[in-house]
Amino acid sequence: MPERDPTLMSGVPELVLLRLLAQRQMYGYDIARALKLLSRETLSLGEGVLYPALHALEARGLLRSRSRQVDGRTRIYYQATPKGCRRLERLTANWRRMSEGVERILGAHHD
Amino acid sequence: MTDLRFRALQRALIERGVAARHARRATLELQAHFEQLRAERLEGGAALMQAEREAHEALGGDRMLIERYAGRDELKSWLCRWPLLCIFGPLLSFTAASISLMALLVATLDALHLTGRHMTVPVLAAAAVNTAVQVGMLWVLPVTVAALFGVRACGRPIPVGGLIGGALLACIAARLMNVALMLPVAGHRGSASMGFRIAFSAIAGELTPALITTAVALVPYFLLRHRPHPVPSLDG
Repeated sequence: MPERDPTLMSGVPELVLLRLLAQRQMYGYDIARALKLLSRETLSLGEGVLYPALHALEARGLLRSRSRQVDGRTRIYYQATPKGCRRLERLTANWRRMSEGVERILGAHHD
Repeated sequence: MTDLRFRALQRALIERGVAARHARRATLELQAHFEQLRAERLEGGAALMQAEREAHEALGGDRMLIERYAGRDELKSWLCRWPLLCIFGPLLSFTAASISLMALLVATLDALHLTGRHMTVPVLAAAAVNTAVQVGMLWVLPVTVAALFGVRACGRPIPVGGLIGGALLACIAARLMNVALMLPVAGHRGSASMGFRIAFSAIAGELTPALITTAVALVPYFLLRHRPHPVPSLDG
């Protein structure tokens, strides 16, 4: 498994969670699987750590949740709110600008 | 064992100041997640013990999970988020509740229109109502408000000193308050009045009854605090 540097992860959970949940509603286990699959395990957040992040985003009004009974168990589904979608647009633009800058530095030839 | 882990986790989250509703939901979600991880590993051919161990590891350690929740202000209970509420909350709540209650009583009596219909009540009944209002608002209400704050604070990382100070402030305010509600009796139209005596000499004179009501108000807090908890703590 690739090494993860927590200093590079600042702000990333919020961005990726909003991205996933802007597309469709998902529950925790579902989100953990999607993160592993889509990032090819380079970006697997600790599975339990997912929930405080989801709860905090909901408390800030960026996500909404609703519980559903599935096979006799309660599952809590999350989805991005319109405010969350606007936040996602801003975060995505910032991320792209920053990563382009970093890419330029990494690709530059120094004498 | 697994069920006990999540119940102990819920207790630990509340003890670290996480709001009860977030703590409940956290354990519900973490337990459901754990069960899916375990089922996934069992389907992959792992033995039950191994599947459970791997599922626990994938979920993360209790300490790390607790830190992640407790580190987020937006998930904390309001008493832990704003600790000054422990001190000033009972006083503010008591003042708001007593003013609202008095306004409600006056509005109710006004709606009954006793004076306009020249209706009167016996003097004894009017005195009994006045006494009931005084006991209710100056004794029962501050004790109830302070006790509710105590119950809310129980099992949370809230300093006892702040809680006692807050209850005492509310009880002193109650001792300095004057309330009277006189229904119309023969020869008197009836009246309602409410006020505060603000004088250091008055505070000194009312300190003993205020301390007694504070002690009464905090009985539920201390009883709950020292009762044996049905769920063991994570520390064992």
